[in-house]
Amino acid sequence: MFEDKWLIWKLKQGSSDALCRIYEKYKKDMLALASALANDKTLAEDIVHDCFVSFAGCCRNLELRTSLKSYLLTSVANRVRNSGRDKIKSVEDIDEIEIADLDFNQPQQQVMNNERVRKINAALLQLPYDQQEIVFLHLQSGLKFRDIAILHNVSINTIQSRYRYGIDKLRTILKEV
Amino acid sequence: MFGTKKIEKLIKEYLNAKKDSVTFNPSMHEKILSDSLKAYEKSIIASAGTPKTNVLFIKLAVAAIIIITAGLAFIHINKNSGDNKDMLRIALQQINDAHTLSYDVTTTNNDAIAAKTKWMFKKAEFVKINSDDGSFAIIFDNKKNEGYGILSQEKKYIELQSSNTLNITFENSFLITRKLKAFSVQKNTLIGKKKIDGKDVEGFSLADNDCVVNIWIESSTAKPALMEIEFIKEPSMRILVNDFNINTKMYAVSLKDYEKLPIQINAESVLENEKHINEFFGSLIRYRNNGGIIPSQNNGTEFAKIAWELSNQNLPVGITKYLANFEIVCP
Repeated sequence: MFEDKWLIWKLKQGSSDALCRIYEKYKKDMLALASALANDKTLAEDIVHDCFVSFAGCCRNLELRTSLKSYLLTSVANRVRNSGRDKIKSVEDIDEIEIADLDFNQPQQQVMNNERVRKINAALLQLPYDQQEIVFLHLQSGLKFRDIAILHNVSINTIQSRYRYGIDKLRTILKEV
Repeated sequence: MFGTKKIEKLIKEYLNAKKDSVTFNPSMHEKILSDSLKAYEKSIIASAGTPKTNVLFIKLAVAAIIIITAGLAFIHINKNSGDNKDMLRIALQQINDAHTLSYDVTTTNNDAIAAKTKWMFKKAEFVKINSDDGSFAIIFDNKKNEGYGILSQEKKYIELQSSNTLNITFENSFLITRKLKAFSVQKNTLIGKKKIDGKDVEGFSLADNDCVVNIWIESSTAKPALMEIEFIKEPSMRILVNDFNINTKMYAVSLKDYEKLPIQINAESVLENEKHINEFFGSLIRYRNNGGIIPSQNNGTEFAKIAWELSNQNLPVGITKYLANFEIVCP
């Protein structure tokens, strides 16, 4: 947090090194969120590109109300929404996704795990975009409900409700996994 | 049936695994960085050219109407001078506000290129100078007041030391910034417009007791495009400064695997200005091109030859300690 404040200060002084550092620090979070929300690798990269270039163009006049991370990731989520991807659902190729804690030694368990991953992915895609976005921002990106609420210009209760509805729906869909 | 905590844990694990597996296409990664830096630079230029508004705007506007009326009469008499001053002011401000700055310096003698170097400054911290062929470099750390002369081909380096604080930063030292500052405060002449590398530029000229300086500034960005410096006492000598880059990334240099040579050079004199450093590099390149070998630690005679080459150029030699133990044999 302190580092981010320092980086923002340096940006305002004209430091391109600070810009590069911010990009290196948050590029993976931004791409992961864009990929999860857009379900399209190329579109996700384009969204990160547009977001970061836009940030670079206006950062000298930026007055942050939340953390830098929250700002960047909410920008990504908003751009995905603006691109219309919130209305498109597709089942993602899961061949390269593994859940780290599981044991892959047994071939049978590998099959089961792939099946479980497929179901989790399908369940997430069934969520309305508003709920999906909050679930990703909170669980994947680690943002606080308060920050998400500020950046969405809604009350924290609304954000917490969307999250709770999302989790409840996932629980119902995944009850047999 | 899952509880809330368990479902959160499961989704979190899934999303984290997914996060670990995402990677950028390398070309996209480069594009994002490069486009962002361009956008950032553009915003700096825009802010340099746009005066800041404040809450007193309305009150000031009334006063401005009065001032503008008086100003119009002045502009009518002294047409163009305001725009020119603005362009020089913004050019200087961009350099002063820069975090990093780089430019090429070419010294010519009777129109033949004597030496060319690339200068890179990191504000208040480092200056790095590369010879055009990449075989020599100087890095100077302003905080430690010491630096290194690096011989890339031979993988050797020489220590540069100074007893005085040099503070070699682009804001307060060297020809380019000093001359540019002089332009902003002294009376200069508009010498016309032309194109450099396809870009429209406007030229200004300034003369003092030592030299005549022409500077060409890009009309669209107010970024310096070319400086031409002619020395009154040395009419055959010219310095050209171009390829200005503001806020580009500077890369760290590692001297791991490099051999330290037991020789010290007085940084204070060598780093006095662009002309001296170009001559210094030029003499080293000439020395090697004429069959000279950058010596290993035990070859005092070759060190002496370098010292001789430098002294022939009236450059400070400052070779100490090690050479004191050898008989210097000049070729």
